[in-house]
Amino acid sequence: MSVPSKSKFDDPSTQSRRATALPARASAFRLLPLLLVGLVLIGTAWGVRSSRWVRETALRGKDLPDLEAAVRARPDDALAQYYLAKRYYLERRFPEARDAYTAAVRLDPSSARAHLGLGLTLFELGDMGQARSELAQALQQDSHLAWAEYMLGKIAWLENNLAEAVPHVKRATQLDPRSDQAWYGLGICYIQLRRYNEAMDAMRQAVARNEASPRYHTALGELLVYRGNVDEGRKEYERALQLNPDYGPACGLMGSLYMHKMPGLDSLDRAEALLLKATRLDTYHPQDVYFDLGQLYIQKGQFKKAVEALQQSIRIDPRDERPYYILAKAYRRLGDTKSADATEKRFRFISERHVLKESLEARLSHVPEDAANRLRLARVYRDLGLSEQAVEQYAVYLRQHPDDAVRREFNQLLQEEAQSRANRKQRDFVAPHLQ
Amino acid sequence: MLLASLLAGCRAAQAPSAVRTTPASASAVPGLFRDVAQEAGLDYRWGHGGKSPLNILETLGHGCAFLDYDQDGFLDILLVGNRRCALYHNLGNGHFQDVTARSGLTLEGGLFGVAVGDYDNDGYPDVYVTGYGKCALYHNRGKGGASGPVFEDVTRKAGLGARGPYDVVTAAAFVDLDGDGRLDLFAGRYIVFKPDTIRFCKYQGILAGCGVKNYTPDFPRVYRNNGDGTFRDMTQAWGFDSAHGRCLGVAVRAADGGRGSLVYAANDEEPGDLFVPKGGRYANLGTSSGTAFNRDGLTQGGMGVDWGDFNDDGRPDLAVSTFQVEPNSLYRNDGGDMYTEVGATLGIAAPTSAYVAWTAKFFDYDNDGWPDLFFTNGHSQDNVHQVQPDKSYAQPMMLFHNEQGRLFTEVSAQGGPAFAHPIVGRGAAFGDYDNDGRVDMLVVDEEGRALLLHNEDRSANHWLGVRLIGTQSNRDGIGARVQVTADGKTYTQDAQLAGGYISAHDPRLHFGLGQARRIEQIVVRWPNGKTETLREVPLDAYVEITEGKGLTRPSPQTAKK
Repeated sequence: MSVPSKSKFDDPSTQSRRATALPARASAFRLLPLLLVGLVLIGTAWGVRSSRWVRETALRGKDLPDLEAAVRARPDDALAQYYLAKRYYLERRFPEARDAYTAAVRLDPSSARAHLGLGLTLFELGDMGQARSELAQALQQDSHLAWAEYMLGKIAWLENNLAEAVPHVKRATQLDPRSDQAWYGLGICYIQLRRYNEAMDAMRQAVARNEASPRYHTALGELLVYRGNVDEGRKEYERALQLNPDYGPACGLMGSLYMHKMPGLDSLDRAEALLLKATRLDTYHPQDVYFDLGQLYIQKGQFKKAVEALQQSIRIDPRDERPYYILAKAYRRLGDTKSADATEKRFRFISERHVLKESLEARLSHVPEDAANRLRLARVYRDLGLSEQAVEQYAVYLRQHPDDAVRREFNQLLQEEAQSRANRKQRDFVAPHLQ
Repeated sequence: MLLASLLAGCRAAQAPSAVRTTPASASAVPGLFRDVAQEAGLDYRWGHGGKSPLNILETLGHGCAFLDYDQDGFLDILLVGNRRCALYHNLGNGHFQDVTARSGLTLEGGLFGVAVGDYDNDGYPDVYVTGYGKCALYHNRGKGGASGPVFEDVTRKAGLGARGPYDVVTAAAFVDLDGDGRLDLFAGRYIVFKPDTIRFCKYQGILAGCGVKNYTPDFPRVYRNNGDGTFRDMTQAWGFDSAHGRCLGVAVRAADGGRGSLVYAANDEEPGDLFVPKGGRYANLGTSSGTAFNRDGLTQGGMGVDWGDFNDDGRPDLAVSTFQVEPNSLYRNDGGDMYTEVGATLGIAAPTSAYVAWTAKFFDYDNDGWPDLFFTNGHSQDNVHQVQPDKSYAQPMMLFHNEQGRLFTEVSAQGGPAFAHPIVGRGAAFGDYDNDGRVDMLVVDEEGRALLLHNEDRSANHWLGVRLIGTQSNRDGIGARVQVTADGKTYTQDAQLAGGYISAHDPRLHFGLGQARRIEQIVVRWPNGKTETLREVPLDAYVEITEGKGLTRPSPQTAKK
């Protein structure tokens, strides 16, 4: 039997003549291979239907009720549990996501992505300890999971553990050099470590990978300005504001730039417009926006406006001594000596501790065994509201010098710190205010 | 030279179009200042012989002074070295002669700075040298040669020696604090630095001199001049015990209340102190005045300091030089003991943040009537490049032109070759050593030789130099306020020999008068509150005003002209 050429097979007239010429017996022989092909196709389809890829494609396309139904039908189906968890996560139903991910991990402990998902969910629920554990397990299963490295770095950063954060975030940039978030996080870590050149490189990488992010342009701009490159920094702020004219951090920092770094006859007016706009937008450090505004009004001799702005700054962050200092000046200019003296008293309280803090930090960095200074530093941190740092210093001191009275102080601080941690809403890298 | 000066003065009067009032035209000249140290015979060098790292006291550097020790009308030079002082006599022809050997300035060892003042009102400037574990008050005998050395060490009699072998005395200033017509002494202290005090710290694994925050502050002492060659510690009695310590800079000026003087102390990473006379004592108004901290209310590494009325409103403003990352501060005097830090909006903050600044000094280099600003820079860690690769021990000097009180424009690039080469800048003295009507500079390069920067500015602006001779007040007139009115505009300066960084300056007040055609009057308010008004004062000359007698005679150099 000759196999017809494609051209002939495709010719409708040839097909027609052949159909009329074929005898009935020949038709029976021809059905057999078709039957075989059919069986193969059915078998393949059955196999494909039950294959992981097809199943995942199908599960991915299902909506939440279908996924819930699938899991109810087959509670031991790890894949269905995973996709259900993922859907819960995407819909920000984190408690349900946690339960589903936990089931998925139980059913398939080798699933790196289930561990990763559970870690991300626990992170969103604020359970950093468990999140860290799950993310570490994810990396055990798949050491190339850049996202897990990044998240471990982020958790360490949120816990003020820069020494641990940097290696994780750095590895995330190595595993996935295209990740703008990882580069940004690395940049933030380096800024806090005062490794400014490396921070600059990392921020430039973040900008290069996501040129449309006003956040990255703003962070790079702030770093450039801080390092003395005012012109280039200003351009980054301008780019951020081109991308989003209502990007609060860029408004605030650009206003601050006009006020502090770009002398000119109209610089205060420009600064005022930008700072006022920033007060109406979301910013990382709103207390600084109001503080700059207060300073601006002092320079303009508009002391009542200065008082309003500085009071707002203090409402947002009562631990910062700077607005108290300027506020006392504003009160004094207004002739309100009583308020000036009271505000100055508060300023002195914080300022003296601030100076002492810096001195003790410097001394302990070179003479770490000085227990008396260690305890003094712990108490200064406590007084300044830096409870995490205080806890760390108390713990070091108590390891060396068990002391009941100090332990009581420590325990009280721990309670306050736990409360503070519970109230904390920060979940992402935030550029520190460079000053 | 005198003929040339006269001709220059004539040209100035006839060619107003040649006036340079903006930095733009400054680029037309080769340089505003020319280092003439070598040709002038100034061969002194500082240095540490390659030792590294240096501890915090070894990098404090040194001061210098312009003083006319022999009252011949030409400013002589005193350099404070690490091991000894050096005195150079101005021969009046652009050259200096090393006269150290017969000067009597014998103090040796870890020295820092110098204060100059005629504490016994005998007409000859005396010298107080500060150091680590040693200080010396030298009385100027007014004559040298066969009769013995010029300076006589009277430290022991005066009771102004160091308080022990580890007393770190830095900035000092002579000023009449109790209004008795005699100069008292403010002597700043820095840190507690004993043999068991930590010397070196590791920064990123590199051993370097420790930062100042590692050290306990020490506090200034204030000494009353008893008038019999002795001094008495009045620190507590006069209210100076409220100082914050770690003092590196001191500047004085006339008090605002009509009489007396006030003192500002710049402190290293401690709040600055503004001592204002109140009810027979001194109140520290640093914080309430707004001068204790930087613009944000944070401490700064206050190093050098100076008073100057940069906006010509009749109120002396304050400049404070600071550590790196901290912009140098410029406090505008708003009156009523209140100040506003305006360095950022006036252009000082951003350019200065990158450097560790020491000397801060107002002076009108182009005689346009607006005090300009000068800073020396140089890191405090000699091996900082190992710790911070983008930083260096040597750093450039900076000069800012005052744009009519509304802005300071950096003109360092037009300053001349000396401004192009980084130095380890520390102290600097200001004065017109060749009496050509332009203020020159003497600068300490801690790892090099002295720089004698001759002012070569070519503007044809007018000027006036005023030497005060107190009779009831202290003879130097320190703490007096002088207001010169020329063509309807009034210029204000207060007499002091201190300011800057551990250095002393020309005792004559130098007023740039721009294009003024005549001086209407000079009003002097002496430290005791009495005022004198003088008229018929010549332009482009040095004049001498004696308390109670008015213009007594042309100063010697004017007579020579």
